Amino acid sequence: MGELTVAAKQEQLERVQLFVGEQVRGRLTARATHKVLLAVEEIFVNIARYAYPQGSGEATILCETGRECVSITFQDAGIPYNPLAQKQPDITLSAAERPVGGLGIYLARELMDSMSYRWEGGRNILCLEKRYERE
Amino acid sequence: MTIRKAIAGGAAVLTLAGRLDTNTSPELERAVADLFQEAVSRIEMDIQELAYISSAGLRVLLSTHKKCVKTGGRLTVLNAGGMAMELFEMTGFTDVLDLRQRETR
Repeated sequence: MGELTVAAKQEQLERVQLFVGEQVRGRLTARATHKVLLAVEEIFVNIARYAYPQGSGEATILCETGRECVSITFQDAGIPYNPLAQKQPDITLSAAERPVGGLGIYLARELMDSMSYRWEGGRNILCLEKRYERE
Repeated sequence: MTIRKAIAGGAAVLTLAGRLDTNTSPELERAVADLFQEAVSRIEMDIQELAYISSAGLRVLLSTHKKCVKTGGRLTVLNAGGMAMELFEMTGFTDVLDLRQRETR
């Protein structure tokens, strides 16, 4: 299991993605890895933007490779926020009717096999899972 | 990300390469804003060499599309690769954007 703690800042995105990329290397196909890294961006950026409105804080990313799947857990001590409770975007709207943005969490959910949220010990804990593919 | 820009006859081609993510998408927003400054609203974006595009990139594509439509122009997205295409399908962008594959060059 690998663990990384960084400042919850957008500039740390590539570092977080490099870390997760290293952790899942050899476990997932290139395509599945790409999907995981996309989901990681959406979740990490969300934390960087909204977790600490009063100032700065940290985010911890844990990677675990199990028998069936890779799991990536994001923890922060920011304001309680469950991204899974967010309203789902309507992806059937025309360009004119569509708001610009609001697709990040939706995409992360689509790209991963499962996502779960809990608030525990004063922390937001969001866990993403990607199952191994046989190719 | 690198952005190559070519303008001919009131139309622009932006060729994007590298990563279009949260941190680089403002560069593309600026490049598009510059085109509108120059009164160019027919834009082609060639994304063949884009190795990575996240929702931040999709956001700029949609806002550019909207601006182009509003000013009587058009945005065409060229040569989307497998992963980009999959994201366009997941988000319904396939019904919104003008997506084309250029003949092999």
